[in-house]
Amino acid sequence: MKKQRSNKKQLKEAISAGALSPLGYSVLVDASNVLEKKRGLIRSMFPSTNTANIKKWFLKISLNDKYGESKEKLMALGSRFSDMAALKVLYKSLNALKSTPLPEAEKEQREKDIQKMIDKIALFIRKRLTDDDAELIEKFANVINNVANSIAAEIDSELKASVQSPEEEKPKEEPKKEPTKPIEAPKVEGKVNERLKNKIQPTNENFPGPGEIVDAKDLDYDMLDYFNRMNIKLSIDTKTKKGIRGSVGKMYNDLVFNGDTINKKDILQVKILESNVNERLKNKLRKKIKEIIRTHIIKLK
Amino acid sequence: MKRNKLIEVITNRVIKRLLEISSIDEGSGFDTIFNELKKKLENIQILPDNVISVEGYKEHQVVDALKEMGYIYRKPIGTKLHFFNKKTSISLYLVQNQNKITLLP
Repeated sequence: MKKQRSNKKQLKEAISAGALSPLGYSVLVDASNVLEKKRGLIRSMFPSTNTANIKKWFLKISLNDKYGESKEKLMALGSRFSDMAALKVLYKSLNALKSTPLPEAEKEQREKDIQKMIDKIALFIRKRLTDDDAELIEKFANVINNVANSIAAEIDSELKASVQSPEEEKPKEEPKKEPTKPIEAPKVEGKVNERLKNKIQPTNENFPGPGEIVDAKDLDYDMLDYFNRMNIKLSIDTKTKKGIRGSVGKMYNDLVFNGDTINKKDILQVKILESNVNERLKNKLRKKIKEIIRTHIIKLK
Repeated sequence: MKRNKLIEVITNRVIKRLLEISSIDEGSGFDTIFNELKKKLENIQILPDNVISVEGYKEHQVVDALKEMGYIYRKPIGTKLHFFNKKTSISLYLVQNQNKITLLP
């Protein structure tokens, strides 16, 4: 029993403790798609790179001795993540970060932004992995990290190519002074990051909907922000009381439950109640029906 | 006063009926989901307690079928892979290594 527990602990550690490099998670979930189906999601990260070249990076995995026995598990994992819209958006944002031209002075900041984005992608994937997937990480960690290194090198070289030398920057400013496009022209470099950050604003796509239960461990900032943004009604179970009606709001720039009357640490889970939008629609419908019935009763009289 | 109460009762009944009809239209019933999945995976079976057995199919085949039906993959709960359909607000859990799908309306 103890051995089983320690095995499970090891597996969880494999997922969370960084057995893989951050880019490795993208390699893990896309390996089978690239190798077997020839349509990996990672292509959105490298739209200008030849598909055959991308496959070349991944070939190291298929040449591994353990690939045959784990092929089906890799395919199952790949199919879960294939065509995942949220992941595709993250990959596209990463592509934009590395390929949008930038002046030399901003290179360091851009590198940091890219690293942040890679970490974000890794976290997104990691949260969606199971113990079974951790076994795959254990088996393929080395080879996957190897592939991840090739991808990191490609990102580096694309970023280097995007850096403009001071001579290149000058002639670009001249056509902007043309009178035909006076508003669109002044795209200041500093705004690029801002625009890209806007692009990765959280969508509601991957957040839970009405009727779903969210565990305490999943109540991170993004989740609370989603509850707040959508003004979602919740049923909160704490250690001492169950089914407390509540919501998330902002207080002194913090996101809190029920005006900070419920401590986040005490919460076991929250259930999302029917959304306000539905409630509003129902109320509207109720009003309309009441009107119809009222007029019919008057007519009958 | 009596008239207002009558309006309230009739309104509630109409809304209740409307909701019943709309839930059928959305295809949230167990049979609807089972039949839809059966079109993609022929040899599936119904087990007690809203469980569908997908034995004989590989995990990636089942996942692909669910995705085609409009279910998106969400964070798993243990070994249960969570798939959620936004249109119908239905959650399906595919238990890894057991080839079972549990329906959670």
